[in-house]
Amino acid sequence: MSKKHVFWQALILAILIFSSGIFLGYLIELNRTSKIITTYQELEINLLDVQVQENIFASEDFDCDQALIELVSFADRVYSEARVLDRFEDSTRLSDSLIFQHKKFSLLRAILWTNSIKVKKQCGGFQTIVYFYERQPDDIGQNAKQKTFSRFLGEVKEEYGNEIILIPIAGNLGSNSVNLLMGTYGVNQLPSVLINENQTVTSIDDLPDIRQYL
Amino acid sequence: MVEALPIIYFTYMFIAFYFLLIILLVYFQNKKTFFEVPKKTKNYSLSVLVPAYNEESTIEKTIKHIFDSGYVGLKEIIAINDGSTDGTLDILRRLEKKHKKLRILDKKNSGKADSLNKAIKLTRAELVAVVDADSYPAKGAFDKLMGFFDDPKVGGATATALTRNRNNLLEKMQAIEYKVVAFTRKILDYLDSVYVTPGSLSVYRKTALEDIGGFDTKNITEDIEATWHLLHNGWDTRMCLDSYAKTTVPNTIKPWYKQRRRWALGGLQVLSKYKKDFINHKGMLGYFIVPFFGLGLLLGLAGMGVFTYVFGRRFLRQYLITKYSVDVGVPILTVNDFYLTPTVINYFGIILFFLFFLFTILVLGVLKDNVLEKQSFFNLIFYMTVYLLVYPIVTIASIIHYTRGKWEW
Repeated sequence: MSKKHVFWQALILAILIFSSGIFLGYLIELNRTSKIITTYQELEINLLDVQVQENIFASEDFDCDQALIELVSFADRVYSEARVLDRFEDSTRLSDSLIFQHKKFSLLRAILWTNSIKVKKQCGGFQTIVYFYERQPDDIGQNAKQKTFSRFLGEVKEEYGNEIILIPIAGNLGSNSVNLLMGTYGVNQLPSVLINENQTVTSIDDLPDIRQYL
Repeated sequence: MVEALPIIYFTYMFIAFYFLLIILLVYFQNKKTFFEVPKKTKNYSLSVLVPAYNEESTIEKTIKHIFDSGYVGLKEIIAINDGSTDGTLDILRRLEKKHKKLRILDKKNSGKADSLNKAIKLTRAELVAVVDADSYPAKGAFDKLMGFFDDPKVGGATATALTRNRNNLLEKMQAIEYKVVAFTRKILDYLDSVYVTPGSLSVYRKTALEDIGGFDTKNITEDIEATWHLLHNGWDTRMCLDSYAKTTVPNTIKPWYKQRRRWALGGLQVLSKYKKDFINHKGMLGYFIVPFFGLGLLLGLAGMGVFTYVFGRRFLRQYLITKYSVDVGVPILTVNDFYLTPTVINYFGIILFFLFFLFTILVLGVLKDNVLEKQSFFNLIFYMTVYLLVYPIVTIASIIHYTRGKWEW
């Protein structure tokens, strides 16, 4: 056998095995995406449920306690799912399908927020913290800052429990409604934390002040 | 950079995987002849050159091993005392009285290549062997190389270099490394691409050495240069796995580092000297050795670069997170930090690591029945995870030295 054949044989084998690996990797990522999509579908149903409830509550005499329970539990689920989504997104290399899901998820969270504003006006009894962040920042400083914001808000949420609704929203995905909401409440940099639609915190040093605003 | 990183990772892994497949394919296609010794039809006359500079602790044993190797065509041993300042010359004088075939060439210190060139002029044999003064050829080591020279195109042939001292961890690491190198060199033999005939034990056709003008005194790894020069001039080089010499390896970091830097520098020198062969597609030197060598260098550097970049970023990020967390009074670590969601690149990296791990095990397994002994699992793990990672650092240091023109021994 000619010695030079081995270079071609190895090349063909390498291409075959490597592309199979890439394909397998793509399938793994696709599988993760489909898990996320399933989660979103469930959340969408829940959100529709909340919206229907809100419409009912808006037109009739409704039970504020019940509305509050539904809203808070839904918000908590959205928050925990957001963490899973971030983890999956961080580990995605071969496809960019998750960015669309993230965008969709941000819109859902924005709806959740606007709903919570309405419910709060009618019933009160809870406070909202909206965390605007940059999706997958390249800058290490920004990345570290957001991680700290996220940890701090997680602590606050644990501390206050059902008294607050924590809603993280990606602010750099180009969603018109999210941009509109950010503009309305004077949020012009990321990350920013908006407390009860009237106080904004943008720096690490000011994070502890959040407790004072609650 | 972040966008480009997966592409760099995949390219890096593909090239590494491709080279690994070449090695494995060649091995499995030639498994039966891997330890084959070329049939000896003639006892070629042989001069053995032993260049020595301050080798009083090993020179006597080296001479003894050469005689004991039992090659009947041995015409002479020329021991070159390259201006030693220790007792090397005295030992040689004493041995000279005992062995008629031992000749001494005593000269001022001028380096190994020049020493060898001066000795070559004195030789009267058809073949010239070079044996470092700290290497001990095994019984039959010369005999097993002779058959190669029946082919008039063969200009040089080399034996397996094994480590003689295997006491501390560094020596044990080198023991594994030398075996992997021996295995790979045999693979390259099947591809007509043996690119180094090391000084531990190599035999050259005298006319081939004359054809290349002897050893290059400007190159700090004269053995690599001579081999590339032979290939450049159309000679073939061969390797016999069953013929071996045991050589003394550095037992502390500093001499080890100096030796590796010298090898890397010499590699850079020959790469620079013969790079045109790649463009001109001159035989296997141009088609395979130069790109193989160059890509190997590039892979090491790219690997080191990516490693530094990724871990540097992670370290900096973690430092900032810790600092900020302390500032605002939140835990430095949370449960969420322990959730691991591996990326596809992680999977690829792990698979590639295990493939190379299995390859090393295969090498050790293949060689153990012949001339080698068992390696402990810990040594193997340490070799794969620590020892090999130091190489890119040596390469970078060598490149810096090279660009500064510091090509000293």
